[in-house]
Amino acid sequence: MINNTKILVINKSDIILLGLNDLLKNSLSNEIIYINSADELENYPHLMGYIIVLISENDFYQNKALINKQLKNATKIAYLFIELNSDKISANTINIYENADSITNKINELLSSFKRNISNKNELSKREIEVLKLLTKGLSNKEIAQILFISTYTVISHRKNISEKTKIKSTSGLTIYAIINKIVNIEEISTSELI
Amino acid sequence: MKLFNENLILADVVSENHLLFPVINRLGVNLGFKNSTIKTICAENKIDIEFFIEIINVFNNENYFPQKKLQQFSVLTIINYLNKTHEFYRNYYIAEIDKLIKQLLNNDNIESKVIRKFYQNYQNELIEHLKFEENIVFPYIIELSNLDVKKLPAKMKINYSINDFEKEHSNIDNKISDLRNFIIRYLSVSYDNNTCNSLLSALFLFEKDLQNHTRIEEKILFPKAKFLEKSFTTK
Ligand SMILES: [Fe+2]
Ligand SMILES: [Fe+2]
Repeated sequence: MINNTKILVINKSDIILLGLNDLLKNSLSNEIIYINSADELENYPHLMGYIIVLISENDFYQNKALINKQLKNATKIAYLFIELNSDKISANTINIYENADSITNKINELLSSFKRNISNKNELSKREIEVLKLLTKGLSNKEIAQILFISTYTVISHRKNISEKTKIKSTSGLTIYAIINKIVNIEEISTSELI
Repeated sequence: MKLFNENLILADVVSENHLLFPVINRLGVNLGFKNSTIKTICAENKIDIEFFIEIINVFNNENYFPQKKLQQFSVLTIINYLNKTHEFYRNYYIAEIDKLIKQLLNNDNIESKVIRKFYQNYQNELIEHLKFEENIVFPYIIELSNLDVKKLPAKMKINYSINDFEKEHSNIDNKISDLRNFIIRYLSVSYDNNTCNSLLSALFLFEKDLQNHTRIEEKILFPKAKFLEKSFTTK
Protein backbone atom coordinates (compact mmCIF):
# COMPACT_ATOMS: atom_id res chain seq x y z
CA MET A 1 0.00 0.00 0.00
CA ILE A 2 2.88 2.28 0.82
CA ASN A 3 4.21 1.69 -2.67
CA ASN A 4 0.82 2.36 -4.18
CA THR A 5 0.79 5.84 -2.76
CA LYS A 6 1.31 8.34 -5.55
CA ILE A 7 3.23 11.53 -5.26
CA LEU A 8 1.95 14.49 -7.18
CA VAL A 9 4.23 17.49 -7.63
CA ILE A 10 2.65 20.71 -8.86
CA ASN A 11 4.88 23.69 -9.59
CA LYS A 12 5.19 26.30 -12.33
CA SER A 13 8.97 26.00 -12.38
CA ASP A 14 10.51 23.21 -14.44
CA ILE A 15 13.73 23.66 -12.48
CA ILE A 16 11.93 22.75 -9.27
CA LEU A 17 10.14 19.81 -10.91
CA LEU A 18 13.32 18.41 -12.44
CA GLY A 19 15.27 19.05 -9.24
CA LEU A 20 12.73 17.18 -7.12
CA ASN A 21 12.63 14.43 -9.73
CA ASP A 22 16.38 13.96 -9.43
CA LEU A 23 16.19 13.95 -5.69
CA LEU A 24 13.21 11.62 -5.26
CA LYS A 25 13.55 9.08 -8.04
CA ASN A 26 16.39 7.15 -6.42
CA SER A 27 15.08 7.10 -2.88
CA LEU A 28 11.39 6.32 -3.50
CA SER A 29 9.78 3.58 -5.54
CA ASN A 30 6.45 5.37 -5.66
CA GLU A 31 5.01 6.70 -8.86
CA ILE A 32 5.64 10.43 -9.11
CA ILE A 33 3.65 12.71 -11.38
CA TYR A 34 4.99 16.14 -12.26
CA ILE A 35 2.77 18.90 -13.61
CA ASN A 36 3.14 22.67 -13.99
CA SER A 37 -0.33 23.67 -12.83
CA ALA A 38 -3.42 22.22 -11.18
CA ASP A 39 -5.30 22.67 -14.48
CA GLU A 40 -3.30 19.81 -15.96
CA LEU A 41 -4.95 17.43 -13.46
CA GLU A 42 -7.74 17.24 -15.99
CA ASN A 43 -5.45 14.91 -17.95
CA TYR A 44 -5.15 12.54 -14.98
CA PRO A 45 -8.79 11.69 -14.28
CA HIS A 46 -8.33 8.32 -12.63
CA LEU A 47 -6.00 9.12 -9.77
CA MET A 48 -7.10 7.25 -6.67
CA GLY A 49 -5.88 5.66 -3.47
CA TYR A 50 -3.36 7.45 -1.29
CA ILE A 51 -1.84 10.62 -2.69
CA ILE A 52 0.80 13.00 -1.38
CA VAL A 53 0.65 16.42 -3.03
CA LEU A 54 3.71 18.66 -3.11
CA ILE A 55 2.62 22.19 -3.92
CA SER A 56 3.39 25.77 -2.84
CA GLU A 57 1.09 27.07 -0.12
CA ASN A 58 -0.04 29.87 -2.36
CA ASP A 59 -0.94 27.57 -5.27
CA PHE A 60 -2.72 25.31 -2.82
CA TYR A 61 -5.08 28.02 -1.56
CA GLN A 62 -5.72 29.31 -5.04
CA ASN A 63 -6.53 25.88 -6.45
CA LYS A 64 -8.00 24.08 -3.46
CA ALA A 65 -11.45 23.59 -4.99
CA LEU A 66 -10.03 22.43 -8.30
CA ILE A 67 -7.63 19.96 -6.69
CA ASN A 68 -10.35 18.51 -4.47
CA LYS A 69 -12.62 18.09 -7.44
CA GLN A 70 -9.98 16.41 -9.61
CA LEU A 71 -8.81 14.12 -6.82
CA LYS A 72 -12.29 13.12 -5.71
CA ASN A 73 -11.47 9.41 -6.06
CA ALA A 74 -8.53 9.59 -3.68
CA THR A 75 -8.79 7.59 -0.47
CA LYS A 76 -6.63 10.04 1.38
CA ILE A 77 -4.66 13.14 0.40
CA ALA A 78 -1.77 14.64 2.36
CA TYR A 79 -0.07 17.91 1.50
CA LEU A 80 3.52 19.07 1.83
CA PHE A 81 4.08 22.70 0.93
CA ILE A 82 6.98 23.65 -1.31
CA GLU A 83 8.61 26.69 0.27
CA LEU A 84 11.06 28.99 -1.51
CA ASN A 85 11.79 31.29 1.40
CA SER A 86 14.88 30.02 3.24
CA ASP A 87 13.59 31.24 6.63
CA LYS A 88 10.47 29.13 6.63
CA ILE A 89 11.27 25.60 7.67
CA SER A 90 8.60 23.48 9.34
CA ALA A 91 7.32 19.92 9.52
CA ASN A 92 4.73 20.27 6.79
CA THR A 93 6.85 22.18 4.31
CA ILE A 94 9.65 21.20 1.99
CA ASN A 95 12.08 24.04 1.78
CA ILE A 96 14.12 24.14 -1.43
CA TYR A 97 17.22 24.89 0.67
CA GLU A 98 16.71 21.80 2.80
CA ASN A 99 19.08 18.88 2.23
CA ALA A 100 17.94 15.84 0.29
CA ASP A 101 17.72 13.46 3.26
CA SER A 102 15.52 15.79 5.20
CA ILE A 103 13.13 16.10 2.26
CA THR A 104 12.84 12.36 1.64
CA ASN A 105 12.43 11.79 5.39
CA LYS A 106 9.39 14.04 5.46
CA ILE A 107 7.84 12.15 2.57
CA ASN A 108 8.67 8.80 4.12
CA GLU A 109 7.05 9.85 7.35
CA LEU A 110 3.82 10.62 5.54
CA LEU A 111 4.04 7.29 3.74
CA SER A 112 4.31 5.39 7.01
CA SER A 113 1.47 7.37 8.55
CA PHE A 114 -0.67 6.08 5.68
CA LYS A 115 0.47 2.57 6.46
CA ARG A 116 -0.66 2.83 10.08
CA ASN A 117 -4.13 3.71 8.81
CA ILE A 118 -4.56 0.44 7.02
CA SER A 119 -5.68 -2.46 9.14
CA ASN A 120 -4.82 -5.84 7.85
CA LYS A 121 -7.67 -8.23 8.51
CA ASN A 122 -7.71 -10.83 5.79
CA GLU A 123 -9.64 -13.65 7.45
CA LEU A 124 -13.24 -14.04 6.35
CA SER A 125 -15.74 -13.66 9.19
CA LYS A 126 -18.33 -16.37 9.96
CA ARG A 127 -21.05 -14.33 8.34
CA GLU A 128 -18.94 -13.73 5.24
CA ILE A 129 -18.34 -17.46 4.90
CA GLU A 130 -22.09 -18.06 5.09
CA VAL A 131 -22.66 -15.51 2.35
CA LEU A 132 -19.89 -17.01 0.23
CA LYS A 133 -21.38 -20.52 0.57
CA LEU A 134 -24.74 -19.28 -0.64
CA LEU A 135 -23.11 -17.38 -3.49
CA THR A 136 -21.50 -20.56 -4.77
CA LYS A 137 -24.97 -22.11 -4.98
CA GLY A 138 -25.82 -19.52 -7.63
CA LEU A 139 -28.21 -17.53 -5.43
CA SER A 140 -28.84 -13.85 -6.06
CA ASN A 141 -28.17 -11.13 -3.48
CA LYS A 142 -31.89 -10.90 -2.80
CA GLU A 143 -32.27 -14.64 -2.23
CA ILE A 144 -29.29 -14.66 0.11
CA ALA A 145 -30.79 -11.75 2.05
CA GLN A 146 -34.03 -13.69 2.56
CA ILE A 147 -32.27 -16.83 3.75
CA LEU A 148 -30.05 -14.98 6.24
CA PHE A 149 -32.77 -12.51 7.36
CA ILE A 150 -30.65 -9.51 6.46
CA SER A 151 -31.15 -6.69 3.95
CA THR A 152 -29.95 -6.93 0.35
CA TYR A 153 -27.79 -3.94 1.13
CA THR A 154 -26.00 -5.88 3.87
CA VAL A 155 -25.43 -8.78 1.48
CA ILE A 156 -23.87 -6.42 -1.03
CA SER A 157 -21.63 -4.98 1.65
CA HIS A 158 -20.55 -8.50 2.73
CA ARG A 159 -19.76 -9.32 -0.89
CA LYS A 160 -17.65 -6.22 -1.18
CA ASN A 161 -15.67 -7.17 1.92
CA ILE A 162 -15.23 -10.75 0.71
CA SER A 163 -13.79 -9.50 -2.58
CA GLU A 164 -11.59 -7.03 -0.76
CA LYS A 165 -10.15 -9.72 1.47
CA THR A 166 -9.79 -12.52 -1.09
CA LYS A 167 -8.93 -10.18 -4.04
CA ILE A 168 -11.38 -12.18 -6.13
CA LYS A 169 -14.07 -10.09 -7.78
CA SER A 170 -16.23 -12.23 -10.07
CA THR A 171 -18.91 -14.61 -8.78
CA SER A 172 -17.50 -17.58 -10.66
CA GLY A 173 -14.08 -16.64 -9.29
CA LEU A 174 -15.44 -16.69 -5.74
CA THR A 175 -16.84 -20.16 -6.35
CA ILE A 176 -13.38 -21.34 -7.41
CA TYR A 177 -11.93 -19.68 -4.31
CA ALA A 178 -14.42 -21.53 -2.09
CA ILE A 179 -13.56 -24.86 -3.71
CA ILE A 180 -9.78 -24.42 -3.52
CA ASN A 181 -9.98 -23.32 0.11
CA LYS A 182 -12.37 -26.17 0.96
CA ILE A 183 -15.13 -23.87 2.10
CA VAL A 184 -17.46 -25.88 -0.10
CA ASN A 185 -17.26 -29.32 -1.63
CA ILE A 186 -17.09 -29.56 -5.36
CA GLU A 187 -20.16 -31.85 -5.24
CA GLU A 188 -22.19 -29.13 -3.56
CA ILE A 189 -21.87 -26.77 -6.50
CA SER A 190 -25.10 -26.83 -8.42
CA THR A 191 -23.69 -25.33 -11.59
CA SER A 192 -21.73 -28.08 -13.27
CA GLU A 193 -20.31 -25.66 -15.84
CA LEU A 194 -17.43 -24.82 -13.55
CA ILE A 195 -15.76 -28.20 -13.52
CA MET B 1 7.17 11.36 -15.80
CA LYS B 2 7.60 13.53 -18.85
CA LEU B 3 5.33 13.16 -21.85
CA PHE B 4 6.76 11.98 -25.19
CA ASN B 5 6.69 14.41 -28.11
CA GLU B 6 7.00 14.12 -31.88
CA ASN B 7 10.65 15.22 -32.02
CA LEU B 8 11.92 12.21 -30.09
CA ILE B 9 13.62 9.35 -31.86
CA LEU B 10 11.21 6.43 -31.91
CA ALA B 11 13.94 3.87 -31.20
CA ASP B 12 14.84 5.79 -28.01
CA VAL B 13 11.22 5.82 -26.90
CA VAL B 14 10.94 2.05 -27.41
CA SER B 15 14.24 1.54 -25.60
CA GLU B 16 12.88 3.47 -22.66
CA ASN B 17 9.72 1.37 -22.53
CA HIS B 18 9.76 -1.72 -24.71
CA LEU B 19 6.13 -2.48 -23.83
CA LEU B 20 5.28 0.24 -26.32
CA PHE B 21 6.46 -1.95 -29.19
CA PRO B 22 3.15 -3.79 -29.71
CA VAL B 23 1.29 -0.52 -29.27
CA ILE B 24 3.35 1.05 -32.03
CA ASN B 25 2.61 -1.96 -34.24
CA ARG B 26 -1.10 -1.47 -33.73
CA LEU B 27 -0.73 2.14 -34.71
CA GLY B 28 0.78 1.00 -38.01
CA VAL B 29 4.56 1.09 -37.48
CA ASN B 30 6.69 -2.01 -37.90
CA LEU B 31 10.38 -2.61 -37.27
CA GLY B 32 13.10 -0.66 -39.04
CA PHE B 33 12.81 2.65 -37.17
CA LYS B 34 16.54 3.39 -37.68
CA ASN B 35 17.22 6.77 -36.08
CA SER B 36 14.15 8.57 -37.33
CA THR B 37 11.98 10.81 -35.20
CA ILE B 38 8.35 10.02 -34.45
CA LYS B 39 7.39 12.84 -36.77
CA THR B 40 9.26 11.39 -39.76
CA ILE B 41 8.04 7.85 -39.15
CA CYS B 42 4.41 8.94 -38.85
CA ALA B 43 4.69 10.94 -42.07
CA GLU B 44 6.26 7.98 -43.91
CA ASN B 45 3.53 5.61 -42.73
CA LYS B 46 0.68 8.14 -43.14
CA ILE B 47 -0.24 7.92 -39.47
CA ASP B 48 -2.16 10.61 -37.59
CA ILE B 49 0.72 11.93 -35.53
CA GLU B 50 -1.37 13.46 -32.74
CA PHE B 51 -3.22 10.23 -32.20
CA PHE B 52 0.08 8.35 -32.17
CA ILE B 53 1.58 10.65 -29.51
CA GLU B 54 -1.50 10.58 -27.28
CA ILE B 55 -1.82 6.79 -27.41
CA ILE B 56 1.82 6.12 -26.53
CA ASN B 57 1.63 8.62 -23.67
CA VAL B 58 -1.57 7.08 -22.33
CA PHE B 59 0.14 3.70 -22.46
CA ASN B 60 3.34 4.87 -20.87
CA ASN B 61 1.66 6.44 -17.87
CA GLU B 62 -1.44 4.79 -16.46
CA ASN B 63 -2.61 8.01 -14.85
CA TYR B 64 -2.41 10.16 -17.96
CA PHE B 65 -5.72 10.18 -19.79
CA PRO B 66 -6.58 13.41 -21.64
CA GLN B 67 -10.22 12.65 -22.22
CA LYS B 68 -11.17 15.80 -24.12
CA LYS B 69 -8.19 15.58 -26.48
CA LEU B 70 -8.84 11.91 -27.20
CA GLN B 71 -12.51 12.48 -27.92
CA GLN B 72 -11.55 14.80 -30.75
CA PHE B 73 -10.18 11.98 -32.88
CA SER B 74 -12.48 10.52 -35.51
CA VAL B 75 -14.57 7.41 -34.87
CA LEU B 76 -12.71 5.67 -37.69
CA THR B 77 -9.26 6.41 -36.26
CA ILE B 78 -10.27 5.10 -32.85
CA ILE B 79 -12.06 2.00 -34.12
CA ASN B 80 -9.22 1.13 -36.46
CA TYR B 81 -6.89 1.18 -33.47
CA LEU B 82 -9.28 -0.86 -31.30
CA ASN B 83 -9.72 -3.49 -34.02
CA LYS B 84 -5.97 -3.87 -34.37
CA THR B 85 -5.76 -4.26 -30.59
CA HIS B 86 -8.31 -7.07 -30.70
CA GLU B 87 -6.27 -8.82 -33.35
CA PHE B 88 -3.18 -8.56 -31.18
CA TYR B 89 -5.05 -9.96 -28.16
CA ARG B 90 -6.17 -13.01 -30.10
CA ASN B 91 -2.86 -13.71 -31.80
CA TYR B 92 -0.62 -12.94 -28.87
CA TYR B 93 -1.96 -12.71 -25.32
CA ILE B 94 -4.85 -15.15 -25.55
CA ALA B 95 -2.79 -17.71 -27.47
CA GLU B 96 0.11 -17.31 -25.05
CA ILE B 97 -1.95 -17.47 -21.84
CA ASP B 98 -3.92 -20.45 -23.11
CA LYS B 99 -0.69 -22.33 -23.82
CA LEU B 100 0.87 -21.45 -20.45
CA ILE B 101 -2.24 -22.31 -18.42
CA LYS B 102 -2.31 -25.77 -19.97
CA GLN B 103 1.41 -26.16 -19.35
CA LEU B 104 1.28 -25.00 -15.72
CA LEU B 105 -1.91 -26.76 -14.61
CA ASN B 106 -1.15 -30.08 -16.27
CA ASN B 107 -2.36 -32.38 -13.48
CA ASP B 108 -5.65 -33.69 -12.09
CA ASN B 109 -5.72 -31.81 -8.78
CA ILE B 110 -9.03 -30.18 -8.03
CA GLU B 111 -7.45 -26.73 -8.01
CA SER B 112 -5.82 -27.25 -11.40
CA LYS B 113 -9.07 -28.53 -12.84
CA VAL B 114 -11.25 -25.69 -11.62
CA ILE B 115 -8.81 -22.92 -12.52
CA ARG B 116 -8.34 -24.42 -15.99
CA LYS B 117 -12.08 -24.47 -16.43
CA PHE B 118 -12.40 -20.94 -15.07
CA TYR B 119 -9.90 -19.76 -17.66
CA GLN B 120 -11.55 -21.69 -20.48
CA ASN B 121 -14.89 -20.06 -19.69
CA TYR B 122 -13.27 -16.68 -19.47
CA GLN B 123 -11.46 -17.11 -22.77
CA ASN B 124 -14.68 -18.05 -24.54
CA GLU B 125 -16.41 -15.07 -23.03
CA LEU B 126 -13.59 -12.76 -24.05
CA ILE B 127 -13.47 -14.00 -27.64
CA GLU B 128 -17.24 -13.55 -27.85
CA HIS B 129 -16.85 -10.02 -26.49
CA LEU B 130 -14.23 -9.09 -29.11
CA LYS B 131 -16.31 -10.61 -31.92
CA PHE B 132 -19.45 -8.84 -30.79
CA GLU B 133 -17.69 -5.48 -30.79
CA GLU B 134 -16.10 -6.08 -34.19
CA ASN B 135 -19.26 -7.35 -35.86
CA ILE B 136 -22.02 -5.38 -34.14
CA VAL B 137 -20.90 -2.46 -32.00
CA PHE B 138 -18.13 -0.93 -34.11
CA PRO B 139 -19.98 -1.15 -37.46
CA TYR B 140 -23.01 0.38 -35.75
CA ILE B 141 -20.95 3.34 -34.52
CA ILE B 142 -19.29 3.78 -37.92
CA GLU B 143 -22.72 3.82 -39.51
CA LEU B 144 -23.86 6.45 -37.02
CA SER B 145 -20.88 8.60 -37.87
CA ASN B 146 -21.61 8.33 -41.61
CA LEU B 147 -25.27 9.27 -41.35
CA ASP B 148 -26.20 12.78 -42.27
CA VAL B 149 -28.63 14.38 -39.85
CA LYS B 150 -30.14 16.57 -42.55
CA LYS B 151 -31.00 13.71 -44.86
CA LEU B 152 -32.80 11.63 -42.28
CA PRO B 153 -36.54 11.29 -41.98
CA ALA B 154 -38.07 13.53 -39.31
CA LYS B 155 -37.92 10.96 -36.56
CA MET B 156 -35.59 8.04 -36.76
CA LYS B 157 -35.96 5.22 -34.32
CA ILE B 158 -32.69 3.59 -33.39
CA ASN B 159 -33.51 0.12 -32.13
CA TYR B 160 -30.06 -0.65 -30.86
CA SER B 161 -28.34 1.52 -28.29
CA ILE B 162 -24.88 1.84 -26.85
CA ASN B 163 -26.47 1.94 -23.39
CA ASP B 164 -27.57 -1.70 -23.68
CA PHE B 165 -24.06 -2.79 -24.45
CA GLU B 166 -22.32 -0.53 -21.97
CA LYS B 167 -23.92 -2.03 -18.86
CA GLU B 168 -22.21 -5.39 -19.27
CA HIS B 169 -19.05 -4.01 -20.69
CA SER B 170 -16.37 -3.65 -18.01
CA ASN B 171 -16.91 -7.09 -16.41
CA ILE B 172 -14.39 -8.43 -18.85
CA ASP B 173 -11.31 -7.25 -16.94
CA ASN B 174 -12.41 -8.52 -13.50
CA LYS B 175 -11.83 -12.16 -14.34
CA ILE B 176 -8.32 -11.65 -15.59
CA SER B 177 -7.34 -10.14 -12.24
CA ASP B 178 -9.11 -13.06 -10.50
CA LEU B 179 -7.00 -15.46 -12.52
CA ARG B 180 -3.80 -13.63 -11.59
CA ASN B 181 -4.79 -13.78 -7.93
CA PHE B 182 -5.50 -17.52 -8.09
CA ILE B 183 -2.01 -18.10 -9.40
CA ILE B 184 -0.26 -15.77 -6.96
CA ARG B 185 -2.27 -16.42 -3.81
CA TYR B 186 -4.08 -19.72 -3.96
CA LEU B 187 -2.02 -22.27 -5.84
CA SER B 188 -0.27 -24.86 -3.68
CA VAL B 189 3.47 -25.48 -3.93
CA SER B 190 3.87 -28.16 -6.55
CA TYR B 191 3.94 -26.13 -9.75
CA ASP B 192 6.74 -25.25 -12.11
CA ASN B 193 8.19 -21.87 -11.16
CA ASN B 194 9.45 -20.93 -14.60
CA THR B 195 6.15 -21.59 -16.32
CA CYS B 196 4.45 -19.74 -13.52
CA ASN B 197 6.75 -16.79 -14.08
CA SER B 198 5.98 -16.63 -17.81
CA LEU B 199 2.27 -16.94 -17.12
CA LEU B 200 2.30 -14.19 -14.53
CA SER B 201 4.09 -11.72 -16.77
CA ALA B 202 1.67 -12.44 -19.60
CA LEU B 203 -1.35 -12.06 -17.29
CA PHE B 204 -0.01 -8.90 -15.76
CA LEU B 205 0.66 -7.23 -19.12
CA PHE B 206 -2.61 -8.38 -20.61
CA GLU B 207 -4.56 -7.06 -17.64
CA LYS B 208 -3.00 -3.61 -18.01
CA ASP B 209 -3.45 -3.56 -21.74
CA LEU B 210 -7.06 -4.64 -21.45
CA GLN B 211 -7.81 -2.01 -18.82
CA ASN B 212 -6.42 0.62 -21.13
CA HIS B 213 -8.42 -0.72 -24.04
CA THR B 214 -11.64 -0.80 -22.02
CA ARG B 215 -11.01 2.74 -20.87
CA ILE B 216 -10.68 4.00 -24.46
CA GLU B 217 -13.93 2.24 -25.35
CA GLU B 218 -15.89 3.44 -22.33
CA LYS B 219 -14.54 6.94 -21.89
CA ILE B 220 -13.83 7.90 -25.50
CA LEU B 221 -15.69 5.83 -28.08
CA PHE B 222 -19.00 5.21 -26.31
CA PRO B 223 -19.53 8.85 -25.28
CA LYS B 224 -18.88 9.85 -28.91
CA ALA B 225 -21.40 7.26 -30.10
CA LYS B 226 -23.98 8.38 -27.55
CA PHE B 227 -23.56 11.94 -28.70
CA LEU B 228 -24.26 10.85 -32.28
CA GLU B 229 -27.29 8.79 -31.19
CA LYS B 230 -28.68 11.80 -29.40
CA SER B 231 -28.30 14.06 -32.41
CA PHE B 232 -30.47 11.67 -34.41
CA THR B 233 -33.15 10.81 -31.93
CA THR B 234 -33.79 14.34 -30.71
CA LYS B 235 -33.94 15.81 -34.15
FE1 LIG C 1 -12.72 -4.01 -27.38
FE1 LIG D 1 -14.69 -4.07 -24.97
